[in-house]
Amino acid sequence: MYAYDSLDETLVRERAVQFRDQVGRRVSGELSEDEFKPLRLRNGLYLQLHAYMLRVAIPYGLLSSDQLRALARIARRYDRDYGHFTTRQNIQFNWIKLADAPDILDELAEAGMHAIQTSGNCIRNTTTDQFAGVAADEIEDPRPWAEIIRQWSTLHPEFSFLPRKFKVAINGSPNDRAAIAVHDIGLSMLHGPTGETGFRVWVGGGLGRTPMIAEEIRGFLPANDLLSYLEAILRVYNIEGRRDNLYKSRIKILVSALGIERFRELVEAEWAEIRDSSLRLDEAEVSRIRAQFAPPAYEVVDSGLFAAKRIEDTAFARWAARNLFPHKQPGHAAVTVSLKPIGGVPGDMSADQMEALADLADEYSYGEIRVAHRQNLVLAHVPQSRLYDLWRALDSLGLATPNLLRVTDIVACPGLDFCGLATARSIPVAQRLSERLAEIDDRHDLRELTINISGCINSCAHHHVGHIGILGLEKSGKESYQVTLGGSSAEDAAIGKIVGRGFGADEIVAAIETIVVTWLELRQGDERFLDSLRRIGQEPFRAALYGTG
Amino acid sequence: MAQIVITGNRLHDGAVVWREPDGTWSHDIANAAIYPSEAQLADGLDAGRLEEAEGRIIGVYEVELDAGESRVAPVRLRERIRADGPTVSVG
Amino acid sequence: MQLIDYSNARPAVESDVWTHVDDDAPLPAGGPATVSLERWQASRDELAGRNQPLGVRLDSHERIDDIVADLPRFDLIALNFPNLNDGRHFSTARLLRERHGYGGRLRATGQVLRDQLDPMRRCGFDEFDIAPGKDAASALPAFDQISVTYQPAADARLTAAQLRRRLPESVDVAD
Repeated sequence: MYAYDSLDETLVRERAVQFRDQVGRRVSGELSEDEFKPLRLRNGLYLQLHAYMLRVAIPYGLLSSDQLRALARIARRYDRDYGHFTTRQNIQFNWIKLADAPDILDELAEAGMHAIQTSGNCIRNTTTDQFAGVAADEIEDPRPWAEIIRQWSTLHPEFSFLPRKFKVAINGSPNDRAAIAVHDIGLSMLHGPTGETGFRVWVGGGLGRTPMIAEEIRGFLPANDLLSYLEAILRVYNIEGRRDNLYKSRIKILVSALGIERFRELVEAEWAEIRDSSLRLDEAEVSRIRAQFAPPAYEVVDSGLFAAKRIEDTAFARWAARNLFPHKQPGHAAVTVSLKPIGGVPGDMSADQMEALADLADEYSYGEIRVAHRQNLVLAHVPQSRLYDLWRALDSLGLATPNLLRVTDIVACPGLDFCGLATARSIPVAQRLSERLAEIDDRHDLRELTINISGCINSCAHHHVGHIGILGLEKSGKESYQVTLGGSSAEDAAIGKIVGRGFGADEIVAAIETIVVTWLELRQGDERFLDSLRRIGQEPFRAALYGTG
Repeated sequence: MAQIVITGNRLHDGAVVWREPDGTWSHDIANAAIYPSEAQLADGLDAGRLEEAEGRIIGVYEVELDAGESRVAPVRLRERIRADGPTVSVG
Repeated sequence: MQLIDYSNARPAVESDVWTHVDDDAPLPAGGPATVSLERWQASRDELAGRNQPLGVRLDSHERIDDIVADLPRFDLIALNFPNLNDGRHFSTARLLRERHGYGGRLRATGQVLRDQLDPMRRCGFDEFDIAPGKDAASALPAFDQISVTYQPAADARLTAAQLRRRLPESVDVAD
C-alpha cells in the first residue's frame, strides 16, 4: 500500500498542530461555536447526542496492520474500547472529548493517518472496491488513482468551502462494488482502443433526501487527464452550485437543473482551458504511486488442504462458500471478516478484536486490511491452504459469521442511539432483524439479500440502494419505519421504491419477516430476492403487508 | 404550563448536561430545575445562553418533560436517549 | 477593520488607504476608491475618466464576465465572502489570476477569518480584510501552518509531486 514519504507525513503533522491551535482558541473563547464548527468538521469531529464523534479517514478503505493497532489504541485510550466502520470505508469513535481530540490527531499522524475532510462541505474520502487489486474480474487496480485523487483533494484551497459535501468513488471492475452510480463523481476504469488506461466518468449521483442515479458525463477520459477533469467539474460546481438552500446544494441538483448536456458543456469548456496545465499527470509520479500497490510476492501453494477441510468441516465449508471472493491469483482468496454477528451491532469492532485482526493480517495477508462498504473488513491475500487456520482464529474472535451479502449482513448507521441528526433508532432494529431472520436463512438459503437501515433521511446507511431499505422517521413523536424494495448499488444501480405506509418500532421486524416469507412462496428456483422482485413487482408484498389488492 | 427543563452539551467533552436550580449543570436529569413559570424559564434560558456565548456549554435549549412519568423523563425519545444513554449496549 | 497585506515577501498589518464608495455616494475628489460592480457597469465611462487608482467590489454571487475585458483598469478587486460557507470567490480569484492574468491587488473582504487566510492566499488573494472584532496581527501565523501543498494553485508554490520530481533524494520515505 501507499507509504507516506516525508511530505505526506509533514502535512498530517502540521494539520494536527493547526487543529490543536484551533481547539485552544475555541476553549479560550476566541472562536465562537459557529466559527469553530466548520473547522472541527474539516477534521472529522462532530458533536453528537452524548459526546463528540470522530470520523477517522481510511483512504479508499486501505489499512496496514500497524494502523489498525493505532486505531485500537485510540479506542482504548480515548473512547470505550471499540470503533464503528462506516459505509464510506472510514471508522468512527462515538465517545470522544474535544479536549482529547488534538492528542488523538497527533497519534493518528504518527501512524500516517488523519481525520482530514471526513466531514464539512469539502471533498470527502474517495472510496473504492474492497477487493481492489485482487478481484478476479478487475480490469485495472483503481487504488493508485484513488491515492492520486486523495492527494489532489486534500486541503485543496479552491474547494474547501463547497456548496455541500462532495463524494467520489472509483472502481476497477465492470461489476461495481464501489457504488459509483450514487456518488457525486463516479469513475470506472477501462481501457481505450489501443489499450490505454482511462475512466468512464459519471456525475450527479447521490442518496439522502433526493436520491438520484448518476449520469455519464464522459465515456472515455485518458488517465493522465484525471485531475484536470475533476478540477473542471469541481470548479463548475463551486461557482454554480446552489447556496441558498441546504437541501438543494449537492451537485446532483445542479446536474438535474441544468441537464447533463448543458452541465457537460460547462465542464468541457473549463477543462479545455486547464487540460494542458500542471494538473496533467506525470508518468513518473503515476509510476511511483502505482509501484506502491504492486501485489505481494504471492507464494505458489498447494490447495489440497483447502478442499479436504471443506469436506471435513461443514461449518468451515459454509463460511468458505459465502465469505470468500474470487482472487486473480490462483490458489488465493479475499476473505470477508464479518462484523455482523447475529444480534450484534453492525460494523462495530472491539479494540481486542482490532488487535487480534492486526496480528492475523500480518500472519495471513501481508499486513493489509480493507474496509468494506457493508461495514465488514477484508483480508485480501489469503492462500487457500491457510484458510482453515484463519477461519478457526476468526471464529474464536466472533469474526467469522458466514453471512456476506446475506440477510443478516445488515448495514445500519448509528441512528438515534448516538447521532444528533437521527429521527429514529436503527441499531435495535438491525439486531432484532438479524436474530429473527438468521433462522429463516439457515432453513431456506435466501442467498444474497441486502438490508440497509438508515436512522434518518441523510441515509448514511444507503437504504435507498438496499434490496430492502428501511428508513427510520419520526411521526407524531414516535418512530416510524418506511420500507423500500428493489434498490441496488451494483452496476444495475437502482433506487428502492417505497412499498407503503410506515411501520412502528414494534411492527417493523414482523413486516420484514412478512416480506421474506411472502417472497419464499413466490420464489422460482434459487433466484435472489432482487430477481424475484424484478419479475413480480411490489404488488404481492404490498398485499401481504397491508391487505390490499 | 408544561414541565420544562433546560439542557445543553458541555464544550470540552460533549457530555449531556441539565441546568440545575442554582445555575450549575448536572449530568443527571433528576437534578434539573423544572421551571414553574414562563418568566423563570425565560430567565433560565437567557442565563444558559450567556454561558453558551462564554463558550462552556453548547446548544442550550428547552426540553419538555413527560407529565405522566413518576421520574423526571422527557417526552421525546431523542431527549430520553440523551438523558439515559443509548438503548443498545455500548462497546 | 484590519487589513493584512501580503503583496510582499511577508504578510503585514496595514491600514486601508482605499475609500469604499457606496452606490449613492459621490466619488472622493482624490485617492484610491472602489465602487460596486453595479456602479462600474452603470458609470463605466465616467469612472474610466477618473485619473486615480480604481477598484471594484464583487459580492459572492457576482461574476467577473463583465469586468474581464477591463482588468487592466483596476488596481484593486475586492471579492466578498458574506459567510464562512460561501466559497465561490476562491474560484473567482483563481480565474482572475490564472485565466485572465489579473496583476493588481486582490482583496478578500467580509467574513474573513484566520483559518481561511492560507487557502485564500493560495488562490491568489494578496490582501485580507479581517472580519470585524478579530485581531489581524495574531492571524499572521496562519499563512505558515501548512508547508506542504498537493495541488497547483494561483501561487508559485511547488507541489509535492513537483518536489518529488525535482529533488527525489530530498524526500525520504517515512520511517
